[in-house]
Amino acid sequence: MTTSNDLLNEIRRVLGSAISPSLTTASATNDLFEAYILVTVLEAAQSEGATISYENVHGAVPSVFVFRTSPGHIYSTQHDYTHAIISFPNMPTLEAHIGVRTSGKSGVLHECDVVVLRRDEAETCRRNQVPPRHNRVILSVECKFYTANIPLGLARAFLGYVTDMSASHAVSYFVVNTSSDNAEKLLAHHSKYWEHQITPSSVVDVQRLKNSFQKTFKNYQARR
Amino acid sequence: MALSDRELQLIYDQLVDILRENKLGWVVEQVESQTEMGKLIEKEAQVLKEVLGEEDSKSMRLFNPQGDFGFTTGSRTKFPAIEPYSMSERVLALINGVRIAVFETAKMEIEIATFFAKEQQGVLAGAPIVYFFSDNEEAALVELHADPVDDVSESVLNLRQLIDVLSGLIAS
Repeated sequence: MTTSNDLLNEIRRVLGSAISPSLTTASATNDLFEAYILVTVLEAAQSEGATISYENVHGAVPSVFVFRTSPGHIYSTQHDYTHAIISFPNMPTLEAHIGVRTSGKSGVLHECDVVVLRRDEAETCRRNQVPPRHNRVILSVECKFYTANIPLGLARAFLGYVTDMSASHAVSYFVVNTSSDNAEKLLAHHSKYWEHQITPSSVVDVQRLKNSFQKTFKNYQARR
Repeated sequence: MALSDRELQLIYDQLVDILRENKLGWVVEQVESQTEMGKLIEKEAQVLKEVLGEEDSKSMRLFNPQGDFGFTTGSRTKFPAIEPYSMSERVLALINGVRIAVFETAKMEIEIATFFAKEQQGVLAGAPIVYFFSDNEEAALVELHADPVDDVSESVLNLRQLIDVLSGLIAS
């Protein structure tokens, strides 16, 4: 019979080769999660009929995709950060970014983990070295990857974020890979958009999130 | 036979050591911040209502030495409350943390790399496809490759199997 000691010894032997270098900090796994959510956003846009292309901060087509690990400015040229260009027929073009600072109603800058905004606003900001304004945002996502329940404080912070970032056509989502009764109760009570258990293994939950993003893009197209 | 709290504590401590040896101390910290806070439960309690003076002599009184009033008992109502995690729940929470950290992260890496490799037609298998940089760092913090394999590695699957067996042993 296998004992717990045998199992632990075997886990000790196997763990090192099973973990990828990106697993050594909590923030690195959160960066991966943001990229995973960006992929979900782009797939949702494609499903709604968008064509997707990519460019970097200099306007060049990238040969590799470069994303931020910490929030920065949309105009930062520190690295050749990549953004996606989302084009719907007869609609102003959009851009999708990871980890850019955006100004809220109060004028305070907020970190948007994943954000979709008007391309004309993004270009204005790159040329003038200013942050995008909240009322040019179509969709923003606060992404949290945890190996335990999400602390309530993150949901409370999201309520503050939504209050300052809300605009008539913008939808802000709180998306987590685990769950938390407390956080979910709070966000549901305040009628905020949230999704939990968003991991590649939770196909149903990921599809529901993708459907929500699709609805946001559908509404955007309906404004033509 | 169920494991005793002492045995569970030993397993927990060994697992913590293994995770810290492999730079996964952050998993321990996240799980412990959850378990130290306790779990949210619903607890039923009888609601009390203050009665002043002698106005309700038929009601059930609770002695109150501080004043001239008592309480009548009202309906039973559910209150949210906090209950400590049991030792087995703490071990299971840590095991689940490892499962999320290792397995789900590996799956995410594959999905991200596969999506962007598809978007970048002509990329060679095994070539770097996605980099993560910080404004403050010159070197990429994370690098993903266009991998022809569309499932997690043998070692990740092996680890998953081991932690599933351990999880079953704790839960039994």
